[in-house]
Amino acid sequence: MAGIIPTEIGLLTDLERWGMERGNLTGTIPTEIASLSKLTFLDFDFNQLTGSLTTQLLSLNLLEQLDLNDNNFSGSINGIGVFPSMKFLQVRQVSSVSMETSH
Amino acid sequence: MGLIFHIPGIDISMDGEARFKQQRDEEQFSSLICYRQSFIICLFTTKQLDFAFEPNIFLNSIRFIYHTMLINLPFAKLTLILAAVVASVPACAAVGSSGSNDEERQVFPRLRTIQTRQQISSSAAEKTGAPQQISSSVPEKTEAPQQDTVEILMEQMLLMSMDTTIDPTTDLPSAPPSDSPTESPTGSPTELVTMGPTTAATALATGAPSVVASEPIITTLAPTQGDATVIDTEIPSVTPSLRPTDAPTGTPPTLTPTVEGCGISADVRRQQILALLDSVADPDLIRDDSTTLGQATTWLLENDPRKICPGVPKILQRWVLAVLYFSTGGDEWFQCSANLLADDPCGFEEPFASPQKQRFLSGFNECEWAGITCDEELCVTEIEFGMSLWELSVDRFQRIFDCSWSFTDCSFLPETYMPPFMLTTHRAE
Repeated sequence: MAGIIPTEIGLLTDLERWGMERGNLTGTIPTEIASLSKLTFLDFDFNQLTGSLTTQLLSLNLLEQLDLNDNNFSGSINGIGVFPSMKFLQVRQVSSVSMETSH
Repeated sequence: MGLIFHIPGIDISMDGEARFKQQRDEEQFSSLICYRQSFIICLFTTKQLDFAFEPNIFLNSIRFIYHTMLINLPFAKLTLILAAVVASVPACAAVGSSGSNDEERQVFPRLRTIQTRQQISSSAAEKTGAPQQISSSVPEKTEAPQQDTVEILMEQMLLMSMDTTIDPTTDLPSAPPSDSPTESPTGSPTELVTMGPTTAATALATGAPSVVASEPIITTLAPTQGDATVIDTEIPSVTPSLRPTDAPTGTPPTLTPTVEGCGISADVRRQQILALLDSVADPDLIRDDSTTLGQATTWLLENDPRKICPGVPKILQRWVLAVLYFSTGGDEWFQCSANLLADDPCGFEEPFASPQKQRFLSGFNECEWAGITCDEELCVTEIEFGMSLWELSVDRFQRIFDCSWSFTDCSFLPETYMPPFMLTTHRAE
């Protein structure tokens, strides 16, 4: 599994769980992910994703589990603690990413 | 960036066939995390209690690492690998954590001869909700299969990862597989049917037609002996008219084939589907076969066995999944690829066996494709197809082996050792 995450995934508005872990995905997480308002589970760990963790993630109010560890993200993501439904968050070994929680 | 190397359990079946057992449940995964310094440090980790209770998986995974080292070390210039077992076993502290040393020495008879320059301090962190105690332990009792079998398996893995002379086309089917089972006839045909005309009569138009029917009409449709001949001497009694009587008044019949079930021509279907896709994607890209969008569109229009009609509500989601397939190198997927050269038994191995799933881009509803789950209304609610353990193992093993061999292509490993478990867990109140 190598390539990019297509932006067209945003058309699957009923998507609740999305896991494409342990691959060679490159590029960024598309901003269209904000359309996936029913998403509760997101797992992209152990890929080669880059860029900043898009703030569109914060619009996923139902997100309960976010697993992005072992990628090449950069920048910071502020307010990640605002996920109202978050039960599990793992971003270990994400280089150059600082996190600020607001809880 | 870290490297994690999931080692699947090795299931020695009753008939002695060794095969790798994929463990979809991440709670049972084991991991090998390697770091590069002047040597290579690898940490073998387990995550969950359940895993520790699988002694076969546990010890065979250790053996895998160990044999990998032994095979690699003689050829490596400067390779030093340290294996550390980090078991996170919440309630397993009493499961013989100290009594396993002797057994470990048996499993690693040469491990103590490997020089290490750095002690690995380890901790563990889990994905589970409740905090867990951390202890280093291995199961007390093991019933691992015979080491010879494991060694053979390891050698096979090495050969698999090393042999670059294998022609990928060898032993592959020369023709695409058929969805419908075919069976060759076993018996001989009982009837012989000639190729001669049987029903089309020869009409002879003469200026003065007359009825001549003195000869008998012999028609043999199913001769039983020898070659059959069809003699039809019937002569029409009505003179055929050579001139049309009425000019056609309606719309001339179109030669464009219609799409079965859609009630529209193929061209109209194509236009309507493209119009739909134009509304959600770049019109130029979906018409460009060099792009993944174009490939998905071409597949939907021309190659999808399901021949979706434009009015089908889920046509867009089917196209999106096709886009996902082409965007992520679907033809190279190790499991359930649409690639006709793929020979994996899709739907018969986990995680796509229960429920049994179908190949991507097959003629089944997209909800039946591997890794896809839908709700009652057949809307896609789940996409889950991480790299399989087997695929990951072969890929990463190859890279580690190459690195160990030449030590020149180790860029995928971190240069310096870092505590592998820098876990940040946020828990909602």
